[in-house]
Amino acid sequence: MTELEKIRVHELVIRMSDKDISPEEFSELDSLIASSPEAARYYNACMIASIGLHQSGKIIQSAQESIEPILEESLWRHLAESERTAAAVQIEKQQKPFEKAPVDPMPYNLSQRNAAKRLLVFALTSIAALLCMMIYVYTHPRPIKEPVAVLVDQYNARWASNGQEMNPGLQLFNGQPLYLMQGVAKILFDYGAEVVIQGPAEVVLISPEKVSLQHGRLYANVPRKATGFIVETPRSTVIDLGTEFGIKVDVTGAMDIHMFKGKANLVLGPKGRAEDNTILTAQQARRIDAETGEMIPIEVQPNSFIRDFNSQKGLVWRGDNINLADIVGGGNGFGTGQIGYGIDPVTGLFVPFKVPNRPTSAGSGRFVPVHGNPFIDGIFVPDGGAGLVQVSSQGHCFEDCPDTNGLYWIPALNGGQITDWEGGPMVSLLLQDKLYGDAACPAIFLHSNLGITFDLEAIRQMLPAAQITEFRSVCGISQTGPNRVPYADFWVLVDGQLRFEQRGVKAAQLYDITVPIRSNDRFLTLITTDGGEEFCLKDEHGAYAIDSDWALFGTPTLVLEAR
Amino acid sequence: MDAGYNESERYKEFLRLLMANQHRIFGFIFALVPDMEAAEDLQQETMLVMWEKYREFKPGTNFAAWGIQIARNKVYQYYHEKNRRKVVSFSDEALDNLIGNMDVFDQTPERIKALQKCLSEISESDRKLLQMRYVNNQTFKQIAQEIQKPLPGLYKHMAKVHYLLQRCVQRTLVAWNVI
Repeated sequence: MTELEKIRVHELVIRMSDKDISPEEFSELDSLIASSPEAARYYNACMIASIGLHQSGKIIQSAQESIEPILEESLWRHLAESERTAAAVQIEKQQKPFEKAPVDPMPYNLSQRNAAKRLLVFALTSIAALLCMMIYVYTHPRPIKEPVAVLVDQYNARWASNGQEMNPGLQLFNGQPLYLMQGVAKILFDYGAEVVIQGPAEVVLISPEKVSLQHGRLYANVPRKATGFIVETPRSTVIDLGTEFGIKVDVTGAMDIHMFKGKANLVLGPKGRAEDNTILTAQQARRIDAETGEMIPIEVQPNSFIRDFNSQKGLVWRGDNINLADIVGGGNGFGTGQIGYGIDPVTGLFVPFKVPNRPTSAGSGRFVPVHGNPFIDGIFVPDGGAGLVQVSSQGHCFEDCPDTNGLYWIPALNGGQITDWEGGPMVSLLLQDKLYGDAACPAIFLHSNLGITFDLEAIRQMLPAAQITEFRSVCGISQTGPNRVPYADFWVLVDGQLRFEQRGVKAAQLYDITVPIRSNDRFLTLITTDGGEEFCLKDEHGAYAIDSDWALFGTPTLVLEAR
Repeated sequence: MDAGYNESERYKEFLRLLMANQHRIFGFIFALVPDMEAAEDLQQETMLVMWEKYREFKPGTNFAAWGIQIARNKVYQYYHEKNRRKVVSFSDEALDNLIGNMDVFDQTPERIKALQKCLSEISESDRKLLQMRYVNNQTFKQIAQEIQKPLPGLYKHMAKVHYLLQRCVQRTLVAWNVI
């Protein structure tokens, strides 16, 4: 056979399977096969390929693993269209034990076949029943059970799993229904899409790139290589186009979809009876009514889905950013710290606010590790005049640190109310008449001279699915402090490198800070220094450089995005 | 030894032969009726008849050939009932050649495995077209309309895609010492 003849055989086979072959074309195929055993053999080999493609459609999909996906939108539109028109997939609600197959009804009409009729009678005997089972298995093999995903982690999870142990690391298979009664679970699909399911929820894993959400909440983070990941719901199909989104389906079938990043194609209507499709982009949300199927715009609720969690630390992440003030208060950045608590710069211990016995204290002259919170590397009292100022446990130094008097007043604090003297009135922190230091508007009170370093890597390890993109804050001197001569400098370092500085800040001034954070940045350091003695309270005894420097970083935030 | 025991043994032997030859029998049916649903129905019917007539089967003779003969009758019956004989029916010469090369169906598992590997060697857009055809069960006629390409051109293109896949499968089977 020539190569051209082989290609022609393929074309004729394709036409034949499409039932679009003319008598002349079929005759051509017949002649080829009749005249050449080699052609007959080639035809048979083509048939095997066709069987393989038909019976194991997923192998087409699995082959995508090895190449970069094409993001050509039109192609996905085609895919979307095919989803619209594809026949509905019947999801097995409950996998029946294999042994029950003989008593299951045969999948075709026995009464129409005489031979089958006789066999049906015979099937009352055990042998025929077994035969029935085998024939059923041969002719209607269940889809090959293949692993499509892995249960990565779970937290407070309770499954209705028919006795199956549901532990992290468990391989999950196509067609497998999952009933998460409570808690949260993270599933990594073989193609790379990561899905967080929030119980109560019912999902069925269809393939390495498709999941069916019957009810509950599902958050999907789909990396570029897994673009095309599909979430089916009773009323729609969502085809990812490189996205981060959350879907909520209630028991009536009503559905909300919230796009957090990227875009997705939302195909409306039950599978096989699609009515419309639309592209949703970031920060758009839609609700689909269960009864009418009507789609209405709704407001995006960025924190309504659990996007990641850390079962060991008992932490769930709903897309919130990290509040560094909370960490200063002994927390994990999500509100578990205590307001009014902070870190002593000499001992590195967590302590509550307390008016000190002395108006000023000397720093230790060294970088003090903080062991009580893994997210804080250490604390120090900066004084460039005393030599290099170490700002991290890895030896990073603040080379441009100005000369200070090397003194501090009180520990670094997670906001709260403060008083200047024992028994004095407790006052809140205020910047340009805005209250800081409470849960709604947190602040790190960092009276000069103080520096505190956060361990970004430890924070990343807490939430592997998230990445830190930037540090955001405002800085200024609280207008509620003593009305003397506040004057301070603000500094932000990353791995010892200066990223922000604002010198000579006075009361009522406020500055915005935005510092991009790269994936390999390890330490973030916030520093206040006394601004020197030129502008400060002075009397006959000398200059008081740190006096009334009620410096604070308002809403100190590490911005998180899904990876 | 009671009758039930004999029946049980007979049944086990039937299943063993069926399992050993199922690829050939189904392959033969599918080669003549390249419609997966219809081919599966015909396979069911064929197997039922084979079991019914199993007493007539002479141990030691060719089980696959015997099954193919039954399948062949079923296929003729199918075309006759559906009045499709005029549309698709191979000549006896072609059938002889097809049956004479049924042994290729014994390689079905290896060929499908090789196919899986080879699918990664074609372009993604082609793979998407295969997905539309074989996963979503659209015909190429429907696909051509959907992607707004002329059908004859799509047939030719897909013929080449199938050809390249087949060539890769052959190459892979040689590498695996299957052929």
